[in-house]
Order: sequence, then C-alpha cells, then structure tokens
Amino acid sequence: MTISYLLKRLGFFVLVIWVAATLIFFLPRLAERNPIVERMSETAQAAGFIGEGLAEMQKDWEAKFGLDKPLWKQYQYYLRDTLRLDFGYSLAYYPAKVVDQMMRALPWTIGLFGMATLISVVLGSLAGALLAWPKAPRFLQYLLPFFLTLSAVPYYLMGLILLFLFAFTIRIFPLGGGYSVAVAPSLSFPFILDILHHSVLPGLALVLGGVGFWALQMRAMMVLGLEEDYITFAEAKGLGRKRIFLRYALRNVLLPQATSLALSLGMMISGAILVEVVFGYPGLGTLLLKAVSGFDYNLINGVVFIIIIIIAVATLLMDVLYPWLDPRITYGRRMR
Amino acid sequence: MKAELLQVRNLRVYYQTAVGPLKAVDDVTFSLKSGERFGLAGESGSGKSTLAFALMRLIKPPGYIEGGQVLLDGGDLTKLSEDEMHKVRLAQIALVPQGAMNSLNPVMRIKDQIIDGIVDHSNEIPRSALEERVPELLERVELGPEVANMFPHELSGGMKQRVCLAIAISLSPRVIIADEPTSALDVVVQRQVMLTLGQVQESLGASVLLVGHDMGLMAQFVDRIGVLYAGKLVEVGSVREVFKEPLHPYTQLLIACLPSLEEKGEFKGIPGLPPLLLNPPSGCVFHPRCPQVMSRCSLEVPSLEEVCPGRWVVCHLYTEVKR
Repeated sequence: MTISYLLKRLGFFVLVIWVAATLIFFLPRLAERNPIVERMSETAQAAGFIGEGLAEMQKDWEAKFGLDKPLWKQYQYYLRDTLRLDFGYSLAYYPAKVVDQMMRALPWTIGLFGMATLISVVLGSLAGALLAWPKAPRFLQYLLPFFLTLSAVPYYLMGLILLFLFAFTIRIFPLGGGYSVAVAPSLSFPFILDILHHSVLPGLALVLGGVGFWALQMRAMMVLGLEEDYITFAEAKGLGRKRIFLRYALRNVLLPQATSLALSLGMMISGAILVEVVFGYPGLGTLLLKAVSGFDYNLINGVVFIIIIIIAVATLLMDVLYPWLDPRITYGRRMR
Repeated sequence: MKAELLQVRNLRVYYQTAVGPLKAVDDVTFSLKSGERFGLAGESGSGKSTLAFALMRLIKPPGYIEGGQVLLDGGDLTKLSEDEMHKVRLAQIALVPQGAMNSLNPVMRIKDQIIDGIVDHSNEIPRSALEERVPELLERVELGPEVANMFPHELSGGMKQRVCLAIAISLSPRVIIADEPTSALDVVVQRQVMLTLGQVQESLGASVLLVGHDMGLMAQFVDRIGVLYAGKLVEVGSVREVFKEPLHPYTQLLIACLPSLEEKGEFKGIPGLPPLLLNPPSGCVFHPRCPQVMSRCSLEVPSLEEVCPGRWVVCHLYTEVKR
C-alpha cells in the first residue's frame, strides 16, 4: 500500500464525515418544528398556566442556543464546534451537555453491541462454514432450518419474544434497564454481575437476530469456495482436514465475509438501537430516541455523528486491512 | 523386467444418479512398472480423470469406487482408512493437477504451500530445515528461489505448473499422476514443462501416469500407453507399437486423426459421438461407431486379451468365436 493511497483514503474519510455532518445539521432544521417552543409549552402545560412574556422568553432561549442567527451562520458555528467534538447543550435536557450524555451512554452501547456483534459474526461464520463442510458432524445439518428462521426475524422482534419468554413468563431475567435501580453503581463484583445479568436478553436478541444471517452467507460462500481447484489439490497433497478447512477453505472466504461486515454495520447499529429501546437499555439507542422525540437538534447531531464516525472508521479499517486479507489486492502502484 | 509398482485390477468407479449408476470407469485393469511412464489417453468424458482421481481415492460423492483393487507395492489402497490414505497421498502417490491456473491457494505464499504438505506428513522436521528445502525444490523444477516468497497471482501459467510439480515431488513419491498437466499452457511452455517433468521423474526414479487427450504429447513422453473409451480400457501396449500398428479400431481412428507434417490432408475426426454412459450400447461399447463392426459386436462384450506379448486389446477382431 502506498502513502498516496492512504492519504487519498483519509481525504475520502474526512469528506464522508463532512457530508454526513452537513446532512444531520440541515435535516432536522427542515422540519417545521421548534424545540424551544415545544419545551416551553410543555412546561407551561405542566404548570397549568401560560405566563406573560412567553415570546420574549423564547427569543431569549433562542439567543442562548444561537438559534436566532441565520442558518448559514449556525452551520458555520456547528462545523467549528463539531471539529472540537463539542455538540453544545442538550435542548431538551438543559443544562446537560450533549457530550456528557453521550459519554454516559457510549460504554453501554459499545459493550453490548460490540460483544454481541463479535459473538454473532464469529459463531455464525464458523457454523456456516461447517454447514458447507462435507466432513463436518452430521447433526450440524439440522441447524440450517434454524438459521433460516432466525435470519428472517428482525432484532427488535427477537427482543420482544425474549422479553416475553424469559422476563415476563419465566422471570429469570430483568425486564429492562442496564442495572438494578437498587444497586449503587460501583466497580464491584456484584455490580458487574448485575450488569451482565441485565445484558443477557438484549445481547441474546442481537446475537440471535444476527447469527442466522452470518451463517447463511458464510455457508453460501463456502459451498462455492469448496469447488475451487486449490481445494482438490490440497486434498491431493494429503493435507490434514483441519488445515484444509482453516487455511484453504475458511481463510479464502474471509474476505467477502469481512466486506459484508463493514457494509452491514450501519444496518446492525440501527437494529441495535431498536433493541436498546425495547429493553430500555441506557445506551446510544435509547438516547437517540429521547433526542428525536424531544426534537433536540444538538443531541440528535451528537448521537448520529458518533454512529457515523463508528461506521466510517470501521470501513476505513476494512480498506486498510484488505491487502493483508487478500494479497491479490494492492492499492496504487506496487512498490517492490 | 522391472517389478510392477502399481497394479490396477478391475477398477470400477460409478457416479450415483437418479436413474441408476453411471459407469465412469468400468472394469479397468493395467499396471505401472517402477520408473515407467504410462500414458492414459482418451477423449473428454472417457473417464481418464476420474480414473486418476480414483487412484488417489479423491472421488467425491456422488462418485464412488464400486469395486476393484489399486495395489501399490502389493498393498490395496482401496482398503486403507481415510487417515492412512492421507499419509499415502503426496508421500507415495502425488498429483500434478490439471488446472494449474487455480490449483494454488491465491492467498498463501508459494513457500507455505510447499511446506504445509511436508509438515502434514512428518511434523518432526524443524521449520528452518523446511525453509531450506523450498529453494532446493524450486531449483529442481527450474524456478528461482525468489518464487518462494511470491503469491500465485504473480506467476505465469507455466511457473504455476512448475510450482505444482515442485509440490508433487516434495516428498519423493513413487508414483506421479499428471492429470493433463499442460492442457492450460501454450505449446512452447508445454514442451518445457514436460521436459522438466521427465527430468524430475528420472532423478527420483518415480513412475509417471500421464493422463491426457493429446496423442502427440503421449507419443513423445510415455513408454506404454492405454487407450480409454467410455470408461473402458480398450488397448494397452508399448507406445511405439501402438502408434505403428494400432489394433483396436478406435485407436486406429484416433491415431489417423493426428495431422501429419508430410502430407496435407483433410482434418479428420471419428464419426459419431461417445456413448452416454448411463445407457451404454450393448456388447462392445464402440460398435455403433466402429467401421469394422460385426454381427457379434452388439451381442457379446469382448474381454481383454493379450494378442501378442505386452499387447492387450478388447476387440472381437482378435478373439476366437466361441462355439
């Protein structure tokens, strides 16, 4: 890989982020809703009367959040602040800062989503590869209809089913949340256990919702891969079964599998957001729901921006890793 | 007379189909002497590649070995367990594959593909000793040591075939099965690769079973030749005699097809098509296309007869009418 390619790729990375940041700035503002007015009328309704000087208060608040300035000026400030990863104050939960709210939610999502994705991709790929492997144990064949069914069930539905079965009917897991309300958050063993206990069902929903897809895709690619001449030659070389499976069959279909992992990351994150909402899990998904329902520009911007960064970094990593996964891929002029 | 190294006796390889077994290799018997070059010739679909794969027990379902023996030094390969067969492949019988273009793993360096075959047969050799053997092996197939660190896509077709050859000889096998090793190469490279194959075979003292449809290549390379037609071996003999005086009508037509440098003639073929193996003709399988067909050919199946020393043929022309 050449330096010029890396620079080009990084430039493209920045461009993607900029376009995405611009879109998430303008899209909510195109809607004819004003979060300040909504928040004030909510408060007024709760208080039961409408005081005087409401219009002035609105102007005041808008000035405070910079919403009185012309749109292009706001955009300019927004870009500058985003560069510093400063998303301002939450409009709906003032005076909470967007960054603080996000930092509180991020570890939950990374922990839950990261682990669940890792498990479902690794388990699914391995199971799919074995499904296509003629010398695999026979019982594995019975997993195919199971995977077919699983791959058709969306994450959130899986979450609802699991909730109904294991939290409502048989009460072995909590109904929702990231940890028990009664337990004080600390870095103690019981608290960690409590977190794990709460993450089982949402994690399972993500794993079960994803594993079928990975297994089926891997199986399809593996079936084609096993037809290759180099598999036959590897067998003629008298190689052990394990080596042929791992180094010749599995190794060679890793590339398309990795590609589709990078491509479907966005879809998986949106699935994870819904699962978080179903379980009331204190991660980015629940935060995004709160932000959207409160029409909180700044919070929406912050959460979506983080998700975009995650996806963009993942695709960037994938691109950088490609030549290592498949030596036939080289970027730019070969240096040899 | 040299000892018989590989004996194939009444080998039958069938493919399971919905309407019954397809007889891809039917009752084939021949033997390979130590250090000998034996050619198996036949047109596409005659079962020659199936036969080559069956010798290494590499037939995959729906194909299966229906019966017969493959004796290597007297031991029957068809009776070995799968694990024992793993040890025999490469160490005793090695394959030089047909599709050299795709026979190497595209994501592994050449040296790793040479080494892993050796490792899986004896795991006591230290890594450094293995690394040293790679340039040696490459040199024997006339490749430079720099090839070791390359990937297959960086090599030409001829170089890839040489790498396959280097892998095949890495454990000094007794038998090398070359399944149309040059069919993907142009004639110039073909010649070079065949010369190399001949050299390594002689230096190892191994036997070669050359499978192919190129009669010209056969004539130049092998000592003895067997002609396959519709899964049956129809003629076996020394290559000189078979080309000078082919006995079976099919062999006669096959050799008549070869273009000659001296005379300019019409390009000829054999009229008709090979039979469908699912429903082969009665009697002799060649009788519908045979120019010398007799009444008994469609009724009786001819057997393999030694008509003169070292010359075997399956044809009613050379068998006495039974009374």
